[in-house]
Amino acid sequence: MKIYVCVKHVPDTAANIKTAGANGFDDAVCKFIANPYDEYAVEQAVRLMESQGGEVVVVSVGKEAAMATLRSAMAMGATRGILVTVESQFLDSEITSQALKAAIEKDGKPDLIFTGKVAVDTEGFQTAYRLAEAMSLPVVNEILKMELRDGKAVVEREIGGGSREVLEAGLPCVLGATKGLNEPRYPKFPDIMKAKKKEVKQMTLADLGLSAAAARIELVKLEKAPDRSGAKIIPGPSREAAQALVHILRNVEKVI
Amino acid sequence: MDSYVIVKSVLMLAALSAAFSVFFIRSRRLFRLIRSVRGKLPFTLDRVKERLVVLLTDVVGQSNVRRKALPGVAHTLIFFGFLAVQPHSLELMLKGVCPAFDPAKWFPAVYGGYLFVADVLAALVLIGLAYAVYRRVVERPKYLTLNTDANLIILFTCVIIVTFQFINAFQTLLPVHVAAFPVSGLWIGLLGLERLGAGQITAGYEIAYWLHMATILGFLVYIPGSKHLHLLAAAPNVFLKPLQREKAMPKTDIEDESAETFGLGKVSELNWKNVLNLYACTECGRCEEQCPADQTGKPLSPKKVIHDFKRDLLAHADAILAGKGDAVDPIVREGSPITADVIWSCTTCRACEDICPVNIEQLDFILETRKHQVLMQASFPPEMQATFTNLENQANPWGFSADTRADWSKGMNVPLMCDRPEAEILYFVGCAGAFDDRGKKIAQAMARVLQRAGVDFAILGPEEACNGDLARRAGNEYLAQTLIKQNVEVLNRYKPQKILTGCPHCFNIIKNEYPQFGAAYPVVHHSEWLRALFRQGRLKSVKGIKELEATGSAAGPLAFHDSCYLGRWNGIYDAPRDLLRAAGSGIRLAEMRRHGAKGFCCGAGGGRMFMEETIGKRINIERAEEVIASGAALIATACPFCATMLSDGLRDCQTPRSVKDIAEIVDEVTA
Repeated sequence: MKIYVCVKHVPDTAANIKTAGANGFDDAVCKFIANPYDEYAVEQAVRLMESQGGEVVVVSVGKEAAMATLRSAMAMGATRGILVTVESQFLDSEITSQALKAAIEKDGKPDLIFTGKVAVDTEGFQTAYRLAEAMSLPVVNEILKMELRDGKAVVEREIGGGSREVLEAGLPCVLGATKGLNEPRYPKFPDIMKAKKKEVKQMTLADLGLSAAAARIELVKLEKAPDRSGAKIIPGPSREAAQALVHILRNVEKVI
Repeated sequence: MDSYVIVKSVLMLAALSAAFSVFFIRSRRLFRLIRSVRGKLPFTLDRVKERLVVLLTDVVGQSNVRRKALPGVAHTLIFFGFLAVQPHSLELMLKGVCPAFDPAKWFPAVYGGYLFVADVLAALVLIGLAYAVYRRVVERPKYLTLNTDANLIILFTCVIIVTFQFINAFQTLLPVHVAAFPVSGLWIGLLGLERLGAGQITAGYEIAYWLHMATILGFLVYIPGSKHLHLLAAAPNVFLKPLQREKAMPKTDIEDESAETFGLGKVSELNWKNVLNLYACTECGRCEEQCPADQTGKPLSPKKVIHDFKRDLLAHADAILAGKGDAVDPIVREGSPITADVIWSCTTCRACEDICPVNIEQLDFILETRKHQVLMQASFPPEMQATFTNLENQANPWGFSADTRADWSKGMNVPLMCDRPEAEILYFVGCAGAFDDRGKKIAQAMARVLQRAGVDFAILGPEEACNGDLARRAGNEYLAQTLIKQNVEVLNRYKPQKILTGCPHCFNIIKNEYPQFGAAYPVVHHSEWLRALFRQGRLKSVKGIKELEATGSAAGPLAFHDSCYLGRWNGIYDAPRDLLRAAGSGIRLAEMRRHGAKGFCCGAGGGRMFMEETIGKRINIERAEEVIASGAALIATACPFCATMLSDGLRDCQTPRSVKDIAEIVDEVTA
């Protein structure tokens, strides 16, 4: 089986972002990690490879530093990687998905493509769908469970109210992984070392005949969200505390 | 009679050859095993004079074993008495083969004097053995292994001594009188031996002689295969012990590309010192008695770990001796007594190593096995994965943003090293002080106290990373080295005159392990530093301690809880106590039942702070109960993790008691 997994190099959600200029941030001092949802995708792909054979190719579109995320995916077991380098800090999901499509098609014929359900930085929730659309493949996002049955992917996803739907998708297809699909492995040390030597094909957007200038979404302004004002604890017995709370809501904040 | 002498000589020669051959072959096998294991140990035999002194005090002087009074005295009596009869037994062996061998005739005075002393010492063995039997029959402490092996050894020793006495008693009645036997001679009167005829006396002597020989030779053959291998290995193990208390976890060369494995995965990967440790153990159980894991119902007992490693080693001895170490089963495997729960229950408090009378280093086995489990198997308590990831991404176990590391000091005018690189003191705050709500209060108290005393200090702020202790002791050597190297690079840039820590874990690793990575700076724990400030008069107590004034009692209302990494790992017991007395204007300290070198762990060390504690009783509850029993109204700690664990334990016991770091107490009384 040839499985492609799309992974994104994103700022750690715990990191403080220092904005730079009107619409950028200082990515040299910001800790980046592999998009956590993509780790479920990598884990699932590696498990499939371990049981079915074949290879797992991790593909990323990002700045040069995204190599670290490819290496961490390869430490988890992915066979090799493809890095499409871009200059921009924000590439819209349209160009990103086209770049993924071009890189994958240039590399080989996928039997299955995984993505994470969403990237935790931009939270666009677009790439999996756009990629599938561009490649004319079926897509199911937010999968919690998946197995291969009779040459099809049988997947489960939550549809609210505690219910799950079971879907069948013909191969190849695009599947978006979410938390609960599996428990991503912690890499063994020798695998971390081996990953440093695994093959990564590197190419630019231009090599794929694409240009960031064609992006349809432009980031106009990036600014820090205001700090949440400190919580106030109202001491005292519950009756008095409740009265004090009502007083604040009614007279101070004027929300009731 | 002559023909008996010939038969005796032939029989004795045969028995001696057989017994000594078997002993030699078995011992040689054990010695070869020591040399066949593959683990590396950088070791140079240094400070030989000091080591000889250790041999005198610890082995000959039996000082270590007597830290447990009664069993120690019993051991001393048995040790000396048993040794005392050996020359006599050897003489009898040689005499048996060659009757012409007769030191009694050659050096009558020396010989007589020796036997007189030996006779007294041998009798004392029986007193020691009587206590040993009493312990095994009546006291039966839980930590003592009661099995056939142990009983046989007592029986062997007892028979050797009693037959020695009878040999002496009959000897007295024989025409050739050689020495006076103050104790053995008593048997004569007691049993009326003098009424026996000459033939009967000779027969009695010969029976005692053969029984003595059979037992002693049997013992000789038995020793190498039993826990009594202790007899051979204890002295060399003590002689080769680490001479200082402070110790560093061995640095694994993770960049060695030729290395096939890291840590301790198989018994073939033990090092020679580990094996000598295994041989030296006689399962006295003192380590188990001290172990917080064992005492709270976890599956870990340091004694059992050593015993199980030894069994595993001996079970795979053939393969190891044949150079097939790779074929050996993994240590942690299906059906092995050394389970993941055993390995991960350890708090690395080092109580086992501290108490061991023969200086076995149990932690080496546990920590190196953890290292293998994490690096090679990625096998560790699942909750540690998030902790490891947080350390990787944000250099602190909780995953707070690394660049908020100095936020605890907001508005306090605490300079950063990058702004004040010439500062006299680099205060290494540590993750707890920087991020944990409880720890932050301690760090703030520290900063206030330092400012009050006019100390020129600065912090690293976002340039500081977790010290690496947590990752290292949780087996993640790779992550630990990443963090350590990060800090080392920063430290080497500033080359601080002195590093001050408020956490014993920071203190220990920076002081004892950072030199492995090329950063050796003077490091001081805040207990020592604050004491120095009091002594220099830079800090003065201006008011009393709030909690204690409230109780209105002057009798032992304040107790200090020893942190393992301050006490047992670095030998600092007095500094925090002196400091508290200075801060409390001469206040009397209460002591908990277990304190000082025997202080009981809070349960947080060795990465346990970040692991679930689901088996047995919680260690911090056990400790909290001891706090309550001490009657102290206020518990002083010198480690932010101890403070958290004890506060939680006391809260769960629903007993209001304050837990304060020594810095907080100093801050309060000097303000």
